[in-house]
Amino acid sequence: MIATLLLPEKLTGVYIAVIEPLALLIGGIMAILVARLYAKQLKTTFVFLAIYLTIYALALVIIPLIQNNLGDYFGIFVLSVQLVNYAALVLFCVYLLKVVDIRKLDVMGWVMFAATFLVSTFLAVYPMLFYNGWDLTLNTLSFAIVRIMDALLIIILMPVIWLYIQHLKAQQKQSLTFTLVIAGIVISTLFDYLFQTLILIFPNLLPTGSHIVEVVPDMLYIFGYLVIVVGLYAHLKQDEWGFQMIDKMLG
Amino acid sequence: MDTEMEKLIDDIWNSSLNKIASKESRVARPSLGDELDLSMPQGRTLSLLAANPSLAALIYHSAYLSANRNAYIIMRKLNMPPDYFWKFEFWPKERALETMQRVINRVFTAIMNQNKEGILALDDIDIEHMRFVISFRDCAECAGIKAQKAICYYHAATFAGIFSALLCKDMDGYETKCMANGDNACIFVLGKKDDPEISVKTGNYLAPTKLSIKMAERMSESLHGNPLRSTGNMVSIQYYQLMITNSIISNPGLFASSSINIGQEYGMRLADVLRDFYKESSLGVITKYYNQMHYLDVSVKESGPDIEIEIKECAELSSVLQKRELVSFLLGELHGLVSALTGQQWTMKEKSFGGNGLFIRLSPKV
Repeated sequence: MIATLLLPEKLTGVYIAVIEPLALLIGGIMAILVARLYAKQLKTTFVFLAIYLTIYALALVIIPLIQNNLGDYFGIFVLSVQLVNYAALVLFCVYLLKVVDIRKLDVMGWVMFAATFLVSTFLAVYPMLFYNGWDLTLNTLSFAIVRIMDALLIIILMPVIWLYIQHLKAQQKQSLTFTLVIAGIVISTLFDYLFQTLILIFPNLLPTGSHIVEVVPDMLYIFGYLVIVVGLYAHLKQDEWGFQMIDKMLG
Repeated sequence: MDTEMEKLIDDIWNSSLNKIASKESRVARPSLGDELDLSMPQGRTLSLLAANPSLAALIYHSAYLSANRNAYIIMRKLNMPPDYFWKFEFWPKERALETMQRVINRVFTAIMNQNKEGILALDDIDIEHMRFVISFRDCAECAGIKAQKAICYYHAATFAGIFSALLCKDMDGYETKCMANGDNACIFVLGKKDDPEISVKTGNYLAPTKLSIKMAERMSESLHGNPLRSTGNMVSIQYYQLMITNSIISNPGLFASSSINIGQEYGMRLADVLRDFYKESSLGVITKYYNQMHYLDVSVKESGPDIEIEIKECAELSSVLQKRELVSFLLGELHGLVSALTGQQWTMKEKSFGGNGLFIRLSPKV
């Protein structure tokens, strides 16, 4: 992630083009391996996460390669891939909600939920509300759908993180590694919006024309994907590591 | 619940954990050692149960709470991640059985093996209903006992408590097979408290039932040294202390007063068995018997009209806690034994505690 900022401008593009899909692909493979640890809804949850991560990884590699061959259909193709991918992520969330009981949120959790709802909805719709000349084209439709879907995901996923914090204080019923995976998805979805909003509010925050303005979103994406990968890897190894702890303590 | 006794129970669990981690090799009783005959815990708890059938539910309740509390503490001490069994109900059966078996064997089977309580094994899991089948061979609670029903309440509760702590779920357990009924091993079924089948069957299991157990036959078996299980006839003093403490912790004062009378009756029956085995009626058989059972180092002597009984290395008192309630059964038992062996009525004139010892003076009843 730090490398993204430190690399020379010419190398940054290559670095991002390799690391982003690679992190997603590794995440996809790990999500499939994690799915094998579970049955019923939880297995399905991780299968949809694997589908999401893999499609995303492949799209990042394939789309630039076929961009010129698709001509006028490029926009529709990208939108179709995005819709399929979001469908996988939404199904991931639906199955996740079946497994994680958000009805058990405490008062503070519901306050956080309401705040997340308001902020996410605002981040999703403000460009459509405040910009003049908003036409209903394929590009603007794609833009709007992506923002609304992202907001929806954050609204669904934030309570899972809060449930972990809540149970951490109580009976420690939530999984740290699973929460890390969810946090990775939230980071990769939300932080770019927050950064864009920050730049909008403070236009002089970065020097004019700095390539960092374009690099930071990718850096945040890579960070989010790596958090997902680390979370999945730790989840995969949890049985083994937990038992090693016991063995070590018992000598 | 008596908080001092709760602390004693927690200390015993902690000491057991330290022993399997080879961090403690303390011997509580230098002369008699840290094991005693199985018939000692059995004689006490079964006599109390026969006199008060509702004790089954009380033992179950206190043993459940102490096992639950201590299993949780143990897992934290072993640095086991608190979310280790996260979403266990979504685990495939193979993973659930293998992982749970590994943890149970490494920690709790090891503790119970060391205490010579029995050989614990997780046999089967029904993930859909969250039910567990546990086998317990060479069970210290019932080895050598013949009873009309399953009687291992302490272990049913202990297993339910351990699984509750591991899975962060309220669980219950009952016994489906018992060595006391002639089965090869005791088999327990554990499940969630809100599972109707589990709650009904646990309720039936704990329902007060009059027990008639031939303790004289059982004591005779121990005196003759007949092997009762593959792991031998001895059990650790820590198990004994857990059994005794869990039997009386719900109301120590009340149990102490009733234990004296029950112990007295037990002592009188025991006298017949000792007379028959040792072929003598002198007070010396008391010393021989308790030494043979590795229960007490006791000397009995006549002092004028009185009888003085000096006890060292008392199994109940060989811990930091000097609770009189813990020895009330023993006091009654000795009183009954002396009365039956001498054919005379006695009153307890003096009793005093010190270290892990006890001094009793009996005077002829006027």
